Amino acid sequence: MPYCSKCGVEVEESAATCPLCSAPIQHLGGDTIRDESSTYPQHIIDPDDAYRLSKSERRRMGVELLTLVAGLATAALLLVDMFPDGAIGWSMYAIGSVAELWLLSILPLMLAEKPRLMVVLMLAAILAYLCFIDSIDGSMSWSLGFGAPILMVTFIAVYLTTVAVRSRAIKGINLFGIGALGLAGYLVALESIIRLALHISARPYWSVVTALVLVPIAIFLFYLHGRVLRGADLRKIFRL
Amino acid sequence: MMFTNSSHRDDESGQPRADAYRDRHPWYALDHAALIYPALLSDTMSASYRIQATLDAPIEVPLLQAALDAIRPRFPYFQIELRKGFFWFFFERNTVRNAVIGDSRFPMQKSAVGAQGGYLYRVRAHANHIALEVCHILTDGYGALIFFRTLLAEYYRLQGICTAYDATVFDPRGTPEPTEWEDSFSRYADPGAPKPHRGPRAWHLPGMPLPLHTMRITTGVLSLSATLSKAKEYGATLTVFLAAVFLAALQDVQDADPASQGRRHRRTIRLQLPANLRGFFPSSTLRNFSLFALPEIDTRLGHYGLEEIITRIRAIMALSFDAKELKRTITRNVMTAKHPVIRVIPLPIKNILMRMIYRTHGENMYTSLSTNVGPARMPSSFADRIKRIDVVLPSTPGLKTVAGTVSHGDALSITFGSVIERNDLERLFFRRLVRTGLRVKVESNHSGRDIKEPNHAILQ
Repeated sequence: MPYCSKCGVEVEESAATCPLCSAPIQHLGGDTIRDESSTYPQHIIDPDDAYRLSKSERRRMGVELLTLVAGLATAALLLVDMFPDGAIGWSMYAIGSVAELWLLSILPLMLAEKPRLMVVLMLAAILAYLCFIDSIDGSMSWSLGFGAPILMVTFIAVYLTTVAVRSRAIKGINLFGIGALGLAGYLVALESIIRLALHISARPYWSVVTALVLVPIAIFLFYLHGRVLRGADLRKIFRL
Repeated sequence: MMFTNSSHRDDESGQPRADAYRDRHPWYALDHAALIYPALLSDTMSASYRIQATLDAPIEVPLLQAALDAIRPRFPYFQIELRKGFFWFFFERNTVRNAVIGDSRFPMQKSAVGAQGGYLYRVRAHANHIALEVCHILTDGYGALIFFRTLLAEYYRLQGICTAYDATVFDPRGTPEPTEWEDSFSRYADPGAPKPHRGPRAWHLPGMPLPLHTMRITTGVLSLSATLSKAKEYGATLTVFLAAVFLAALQDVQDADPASQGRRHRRTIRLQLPANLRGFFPSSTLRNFSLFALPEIDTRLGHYGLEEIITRIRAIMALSFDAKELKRTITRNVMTAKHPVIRVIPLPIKNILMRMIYRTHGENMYTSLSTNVGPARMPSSFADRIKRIDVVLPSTPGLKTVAGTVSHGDALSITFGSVIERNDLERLFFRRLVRTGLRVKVESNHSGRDIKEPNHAILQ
């Protein structure tokens, strides 16, 4: 019986190395004997997938379920609204919201492989929803003046912040700095849009004050990140 | 060798006795030890253990399938699937055929336990090995061994070797007794008993995890008579001797662990030693009915020699395996689950709580687990056809390396299951046994060349 000279344990005839210390096993007869009856086979068949659904099957099932739920909710809302006098009234708001929720929940499932197209379509869906809700009373009052620009600015701010965050090679406290800069820019743009839509002076005021607070915080965080921490574990730096 | 992968309903197979039980017992509640496991099931925790037999001839899979089909009606409480209720999980009758499946290099991985039609046990075959993998939600080692013996007895009966049936091997044509599926924990709970003392957190093995859905199994085979003689030399039983070597090996790993250098950085090394409660409280249940002792060494007090560890384990086991002490833990477990506030918590929230409790009151409390099943007690009619029996326990991200011991004839098998790259513990354990003068033959499903994480130099 071959044995490991380091561990002192006997090993299988077919073993080339010791299972405990990886030391090579010397076989007196030359080559190792191929043992077909080892306790465990070499192939892997676990985990047991017999009853599991694949990811695409799960997504398709999710879309089906969400569509069924949204369809039933729409029908119920419409019927309840029409029940007293046969006219469609308030249910348009509710149905519009259900349709919007349905779109926003199925798009990530349907376009999981195409994230950019998914984001663009979600943006278009939100814009369409705002216009639809605004137009129910017969006039377009706020959706184009406030809704659409704020939506676009929000999207651009989130997009730019995400790009900036992803572009950093060393991620640490600098991400909070990027977030603070993104928030400052967003607030300035938001106030400008509100002022333009209300036809008052386009010069922002309160958002500049906020930005004047956020920008120094961001600079401090960048300094801390670049000069002191350099992506180090905070527990190591501030260990008591 | 052919394996059937398809599953089909076998209602039409015509089992009047099985049908009767299906009607009378369409569902079962989980026993009190099983309640926590469904919440813990994940890709890294299958909660399954495995009993495997190495026979003297290749397995005839169609015959094994026929044997499994024949014995299933005798164990109706195992022919179930796990379902979610609003407040608790429950078992529901499962009529899907349970097919014998092929074995895998990395056994005991997550199975379809939570899926509809998914069983909580699997019978696997490979070359001349038969394995039974059982989820702990279903039963403990005692129940699984009876099922395994009955399966082997039926397999050999179909080959023409008849076995006398008794309390350890059931007659497949017999009638199940209601006491076989009782929750014995509830029977022996003593409301009002004080809660057991909970010790401090234990030290845990260091080590990088192996890739998901893989595990290392290392089995050492010794001569039972030689090991018993060695244990006697130390004035210990086999269980105490092996547990002491295990604790000593854990101490060696801790000594070499850079994070445990210095008295203040050391934690207690605590071993979980399960025991069958049927020896303390009369019960014939085939569901979970086991508890454990927790022998420990506080290495802040200094280095422990093997004799000192044996003395401690013997004392701690004597104190722990006392009917009154055991009732404390039984009562705590049962009364917690029966508390009105706990009962009304919806299952999703309860699952989160149970995962937290398992960490704080379970895994965090032990360094590792070692169970000695004892002799496998295979019937004499086919005992000589079995070369070896192994018990493999599930390791988890918390209990990274665990050991199971069982004997058959003169073959004593000690099997380590591990989910970490480094194998210091196994190596030190078996080297210690070799140093005492015992001959050990070691095999593994994981080639030594697969180990990527460097072991600490002091342990080489």
